[in-house]
Amino acid sequence: MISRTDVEKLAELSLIAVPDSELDDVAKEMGAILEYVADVNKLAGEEGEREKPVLRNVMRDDVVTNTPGEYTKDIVAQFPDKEGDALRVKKIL
Amino acid sequence: MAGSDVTSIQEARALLDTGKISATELAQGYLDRIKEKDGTIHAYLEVFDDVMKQAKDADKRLASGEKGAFLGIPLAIKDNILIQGRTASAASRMLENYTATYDSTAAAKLKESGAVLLGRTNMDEFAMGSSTETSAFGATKNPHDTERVPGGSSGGSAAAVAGDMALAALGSDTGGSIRQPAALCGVVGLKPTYGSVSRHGLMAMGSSLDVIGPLTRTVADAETLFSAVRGHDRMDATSVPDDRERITRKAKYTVGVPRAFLEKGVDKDLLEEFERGLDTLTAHGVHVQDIKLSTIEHALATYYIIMPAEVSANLARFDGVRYGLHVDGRDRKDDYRESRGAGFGREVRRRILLGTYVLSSGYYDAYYGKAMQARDRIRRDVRTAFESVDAIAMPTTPAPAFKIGEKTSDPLSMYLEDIFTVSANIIGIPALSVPYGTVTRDSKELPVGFQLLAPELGEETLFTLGKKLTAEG
Repeated sequence: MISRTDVEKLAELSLIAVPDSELDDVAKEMGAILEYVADVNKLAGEEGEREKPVLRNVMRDDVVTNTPGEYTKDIVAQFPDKEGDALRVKKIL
Repeated sequence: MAGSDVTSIQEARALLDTGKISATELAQGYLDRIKEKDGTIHAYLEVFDDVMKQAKDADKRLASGEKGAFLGIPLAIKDNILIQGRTASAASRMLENYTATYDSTAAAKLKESGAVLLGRTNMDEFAMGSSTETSAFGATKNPHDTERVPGGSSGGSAAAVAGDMALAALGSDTGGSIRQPAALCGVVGLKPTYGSVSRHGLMAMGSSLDVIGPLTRTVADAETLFSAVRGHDRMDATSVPDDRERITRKAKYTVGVPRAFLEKGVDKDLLEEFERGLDTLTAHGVHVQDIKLSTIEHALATYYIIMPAEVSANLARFDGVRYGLHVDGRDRKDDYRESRGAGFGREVRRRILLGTYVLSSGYYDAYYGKAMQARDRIRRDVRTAFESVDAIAMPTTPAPAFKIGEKTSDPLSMYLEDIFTVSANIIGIPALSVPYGTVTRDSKELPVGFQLLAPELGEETLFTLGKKLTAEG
């Protein structure tokens, strides 16, 4: 149901390096899982209808809750690469 | 008096308040037992180095006459719940050296209440698994039989409580991750109503499913710990407003049993223990009746579409750029690939790939769209059932704790562990697992769990019925 090429494609879409040696196993496992979850078709409505969503947006006022710089040091400490308090990243263009 | 004689938060509270034991003595007792036992069990990823300082602070507050349900109570916290200034790894290489920059709301509430935080507990990586075997730092062992898993993903929390290495613990439940390990380790586990405990500072797995909850020795303790962490939080837009009406205690209860769903795939002796539990409820004046719930047998399939879909979106944030593991690749995009490939373990990668698949154009309608329809159907079906019963009873798991390594090569068999627990997450209702009875495997007595589900905000129903099973009232 899922081929090795499919897994490679998904790995590319989700930006995860999957070792070549794992591709066949992952394809097999995913195939089995997808076969199992296809069971939802027995429950899904034929016309593809959904109930009106019970969800609504919850808004809150946009207020600053911290003092300037309160978290800066801690957050910068997590950066893999930095220059002063700036996060250094690879060239984008 | 030694801390090891203390069997509940309530008891510890009474001893602390009357000065029969100090917070430092109590904490020292737990540290001693962790030292003695955790080399074998591996419930903790880290025992904090300032436990005694926290306990001394609690003693000072106690001495000043301060009262508080958690003042001086030693607790363990699952490693996906942030505590400012401490490592929070979610048992993943990705976050092995990550230090939390803020407190989760749940941890903040416990710190404020004067709880003594013992350490962070082991779990399946990013809470994905039912055995703690996907932890990047080694599996936790079941205190009842160290050849067996403690369940998961909150397996470290369950084993810590079962092994008397914490008085109680916090875990998180996305599809059964509190209840299943609670059942396998013989402790009480509560998955609260979705939104009743803030998810702020809980590492997101399936945002429409996740909830923080307690693992404890008694039902009364679960109630106490739940009360301490619940409540509306402006930092979690999905948290339930405090003025929402909760289901209150009743004089007479009716419990429904979806028998047709339990006919296959459940161990015979485990089912006998479950029936015995039903008899206990009946003996306490609870009316037990059969109910039809034809949709819940499809809940697991529904869950294993919705959950990976949400996982693939939530874990996109781990890219090796701002925090977490960074592996240098050929270019910027390759940095992402390499960091995520090296940082995530196999199960996490599998779920992200699966989630990417079910959300991809061309398959979205066939999988995610259908799963969301199924979710509506299941919710409607269970709501209808709750028109005639106050709670639904099911075993927590189809079998007791399994052997370490038994299910690691077959993900689908591992997923089937969640068959009875996922419904509550899909619908957002509360569910409680209480230890009830044991079954024998390889001449070892293994605990099993009795699960109760109630409508939204019906935790009181669960506590009341649960206490009848544990003989607490």
